[in-house]
Amino acid sequence: MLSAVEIADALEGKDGIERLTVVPWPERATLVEKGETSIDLRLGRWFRSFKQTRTPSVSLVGRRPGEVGDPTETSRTKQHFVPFGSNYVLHPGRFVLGATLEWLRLPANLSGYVTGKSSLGRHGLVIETAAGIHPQFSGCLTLELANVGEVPLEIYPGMPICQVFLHRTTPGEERQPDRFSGRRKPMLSPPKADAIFERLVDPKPGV
Amino acid sequence: MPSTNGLSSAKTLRLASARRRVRAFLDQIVELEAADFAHLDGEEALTLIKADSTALRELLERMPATADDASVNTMCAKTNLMVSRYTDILGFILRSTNVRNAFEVHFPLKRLIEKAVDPAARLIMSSEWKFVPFTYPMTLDFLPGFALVGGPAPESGNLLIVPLAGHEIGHSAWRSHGVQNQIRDDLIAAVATALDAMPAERDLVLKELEAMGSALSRLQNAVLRSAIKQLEEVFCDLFGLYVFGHSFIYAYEYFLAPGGEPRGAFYPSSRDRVGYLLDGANSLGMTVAPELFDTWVDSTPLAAADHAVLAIADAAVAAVYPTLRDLTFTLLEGVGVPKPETASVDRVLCALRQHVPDGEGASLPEIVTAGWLHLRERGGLSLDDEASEYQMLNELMLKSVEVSEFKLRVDAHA
Repeated sequence: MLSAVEIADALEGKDGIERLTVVPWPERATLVEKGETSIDLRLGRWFRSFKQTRTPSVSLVGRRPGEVGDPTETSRTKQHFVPFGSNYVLHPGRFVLGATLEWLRLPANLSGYVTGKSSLGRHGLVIETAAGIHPQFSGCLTLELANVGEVPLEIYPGMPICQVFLHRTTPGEERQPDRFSGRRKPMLSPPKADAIFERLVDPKPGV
Repeated sequence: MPSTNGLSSAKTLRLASARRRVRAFLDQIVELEAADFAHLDGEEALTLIKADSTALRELLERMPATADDASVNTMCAKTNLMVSRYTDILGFILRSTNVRNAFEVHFPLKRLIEKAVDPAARLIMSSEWKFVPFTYPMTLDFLPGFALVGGPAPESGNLLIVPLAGHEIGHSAWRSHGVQNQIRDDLIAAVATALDAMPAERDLVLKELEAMGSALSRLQNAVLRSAIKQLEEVFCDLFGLYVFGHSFIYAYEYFLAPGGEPRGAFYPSSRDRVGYLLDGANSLGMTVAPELFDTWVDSTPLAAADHAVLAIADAAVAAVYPTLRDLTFTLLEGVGVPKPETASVDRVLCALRQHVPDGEGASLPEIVTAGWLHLRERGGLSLDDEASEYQMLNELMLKSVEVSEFKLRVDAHA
């Protein structure tokens, strides 16, 4: 795991490979002074909530080519833009997708893990459940925000919302992520088709 | 009041109709108030419209059954006027809340308007179901201080066309700075000179006017009206050019290529307009690739009489243009509107090439200029397998805009 100084060096490209990008930039002095092994990220202004009345259910397995798919991201969800100074009220038991204000791009030799902040978690705000960030990820992180507490919670764009721990990885022959998939809004990607799963559910295996 | 046959009189029913119309209008405002407003300016406009409509409803409610026909008709006409004035605006405000819009752009555009038009100006950005961008009449007497900028709905999230908003904001600046009055004397003199210098065109129109019993003054007025409107359009182009630099030229070319549209009386010809734009760019020290407008098609006026009036007006516009150009640039410099800086554009371009947003606080014009340069060096990104890259370019520009707002807000309290 990278130390505060190593994170600051990675942001300045002192690692020798590509630089770690976090925009807006965290201040080096602040990072080093805090001495934490993570970067705090802030909540962005775009949210995506689910239209429950239009979605009977959603299959969480990927569809085979040619198969009729689930409703699209657009038809299943509603976007919201919350300006700085306003808030989004997340009620108990509700769930919304948010995004980090920061745009990240990890170099080939770094991966990361996103976690929530304990100060928010203690109020019932669960921040992130799909926490891994692969090398060469580029974009704003989509955050799964859920209120598992008992009172409505006000969340504000610009507030510190989560933190990223970074790890060194050995660059190899890994599949390159889509270079142009980065987005500023929360994304809802469809599940990918899985060949093993397809074989398991085949009613006439081997025929 | 019931009529003698037991039915309500036409006057009573007409008044009832007006009351129902205003009530329906107010009900719609209440619906709109529940919308998710990304920015406060739209809500403020709604509040003003609601106050005006409520005042009218109270007048209608207070109208006695004994009111005479003329009074009822006056109130009905007022109702018609209010509903026809505001219905379009309500639709505009409603569409301003649609998430298809690039809400991130509101902050820098509003700051531009505050500087260039009025420190107390408010901005509503919306999307219209019209092909031509930003065509909504934005200087409304009944919403003073509000600039309404509308982009075409299919592209309202496309940052690359935002420079054209510079032209529309120019209309507000034209009015707020009284530019028409500043050039009026020069223009009147130029019209007189053009009339003397173009006897064939003058006599052609005069002949038609004489057939209708009109005089020379009518020709002068027609020329003056056309010329002043043309100059306003040229002013707005120069305004957009100064503020947005090369990106204004690229956005202009994107939307209007290849020129050649039928010409109305209030616009310069297609080629003249481009000529003024290129001259303005040259004055600002900008280099524009000559091939960009090489094959630009000129527009043609619709009727022969128009052609003669336009020819005289064009000559007057050409004579006044240098004064207008200098006045426009001096005005913008005087109110502290910055031009895009090459170093910042280069820095943003470098970031876009690396597929990351700018984190140093570039201005909106610098960001969108870099975006255009990147798009052009990437060959236009129009192929199916380039759609994702094109989309990400827009995302990176919008994130850069948002980061600039973030930095500005944070640094303001540093």
